[in-house]
Amino acid sequence: MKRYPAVDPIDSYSKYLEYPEVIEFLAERVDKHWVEKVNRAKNIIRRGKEVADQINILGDDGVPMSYHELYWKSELIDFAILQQDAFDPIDSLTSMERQEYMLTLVLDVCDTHLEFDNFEECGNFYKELINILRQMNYSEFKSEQFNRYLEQLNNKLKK
Amino acid sequence: MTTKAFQRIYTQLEAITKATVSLRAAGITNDELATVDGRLAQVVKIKDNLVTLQIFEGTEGIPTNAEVLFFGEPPALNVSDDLAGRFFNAYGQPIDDGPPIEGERRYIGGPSVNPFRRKQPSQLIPTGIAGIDLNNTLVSGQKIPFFADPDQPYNQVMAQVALRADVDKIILGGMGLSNDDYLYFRQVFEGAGALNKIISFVNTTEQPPVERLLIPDMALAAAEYFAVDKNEKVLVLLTDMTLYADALCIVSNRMDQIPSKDSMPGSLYSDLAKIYEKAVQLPDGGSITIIAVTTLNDGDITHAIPDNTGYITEGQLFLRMDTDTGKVIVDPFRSLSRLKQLVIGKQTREDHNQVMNTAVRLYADAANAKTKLENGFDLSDYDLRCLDYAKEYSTRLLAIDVNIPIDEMLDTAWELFGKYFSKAETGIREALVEKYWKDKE
Repeated sequence: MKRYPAVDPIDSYSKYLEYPEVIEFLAERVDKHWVEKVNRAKNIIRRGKEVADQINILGDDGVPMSYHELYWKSELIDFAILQQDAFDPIDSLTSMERQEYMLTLVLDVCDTHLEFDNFEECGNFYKELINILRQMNYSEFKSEQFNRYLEQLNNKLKK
Repeated sequence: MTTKAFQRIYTQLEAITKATVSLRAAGITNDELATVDGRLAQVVKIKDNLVTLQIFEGTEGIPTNAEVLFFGEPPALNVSDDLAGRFFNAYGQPIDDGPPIEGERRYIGGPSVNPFRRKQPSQLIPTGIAGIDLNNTLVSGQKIPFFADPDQPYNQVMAQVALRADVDKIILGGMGLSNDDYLYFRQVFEGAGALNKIISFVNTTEQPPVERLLIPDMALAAAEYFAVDKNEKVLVLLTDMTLYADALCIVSNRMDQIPSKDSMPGSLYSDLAKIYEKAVQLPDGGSITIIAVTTLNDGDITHAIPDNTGYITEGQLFLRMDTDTGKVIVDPFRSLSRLKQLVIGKQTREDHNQVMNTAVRLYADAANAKTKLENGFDLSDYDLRCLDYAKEYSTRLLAIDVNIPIDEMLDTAWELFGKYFSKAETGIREALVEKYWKDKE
């Protein structure tokens, strides 16, 4: 199924992320583990695609819970990081600082261990996280509103 | 054309091929029209005084002593305000029993407006069809085709779009129209009392196919007169561009040119671009908007005609039969208006973009749920809600028989969001949700 962004995160790649000079430069300018984070995010999307195929073949009940979690983590990255609203004045223009902050945040969420009783509960939970992250994307970086959504996100994860 | 007094008649052909004849004649201009044994022809090559004429109908049965009469000019159209409300054939001659048009005589097929003299398109063209206005908004000065299967009602949709659009002139270029379609257009335009702003150039199926090659240039010559000289907003309808390309194909094959992909001439891209690039927004308010129809063979968009068209035009509107609702819809996944962002949220309500994207995303979720269903799996509560939503979205918004203002389309979408989904599931910016959300009744 086609969805935004039009640049496919799996089919597209940059050789520059493999060059030591660039990795060093990015570590200095963006974040010490930036390239590692980008690759981790990319791998989550790749895994998400694989399990989505499995779920399509075996059905929602035919795969273990962990598959659903993997799928929804990839959706989280898709909706909160890759999808960018070109019509929105804030979301259409994100500074490197903001990208670094959001990717780190989303990866932290992905690292959080969560327990679900069934796949519907899992899906609904992540959909709410996605909505909060999207609202953050629509808010001025580190504004009051932005921090309020961040608090909502943390509260949600604590439960 | 009737013969004039003291007109020179040539009667000695030097060579005849499948599509051309050659003869010696003096004072002939390139692209000039002529008749050869009563058949219409055009000068395609001149070397010294050896003139080669392409005969549109082909050269079968042409004798070596055929009478050749030159018209003395390339294809041209008399332009004036009297064009309004009239019907013409491919040569710009009236076919409605009305008098010939008096006016300045202009050669057709000239260059398109210089890019330097153009303005960025910025005016929305509302059509009342949500599949267009909501998801693929049209802008004046845009060039966009309908991609449709031959059995879909594309001419009806185009006639509706034309009549609802707020424009000064509508120019119909009908190529290979069946007589039924020709009469349909005539009756719809007459019935709407809009005939005084409509000009039609029509080539019907029983006329030689190659004659239709003149139709787009005739229609656009008239369009340029009204847009450039009169600063009017002009909408040009071209149907069916696939039949136009088929005519190009016939000519190039008869001329023994080496065919390119799908037996189309190698110049297909340029031939199509020459037409579509006439779409323009002028600084003084005049504009030419081109809405064309490209019929597909079995839905194949990789065929040379739709493929080349797609590189030239600013998007495409894809018609599809939705079997779930039994309606013809504007497919939101395959349709695109590349200029929509110039007006969305600027000339329409602030929530337009988010509503549009969310509605399409939820429709995509419904498509996934449908696949699940077809594969024999149990559907989740969300899947079921998606499927119900998709049916209503398809009937109330995507179907081509919808005719409502844009604000009402947006309100309808909000109503559907509230009916089937939670606020979080839509993921729309909170400020907009607070303002427009409609709770389930």
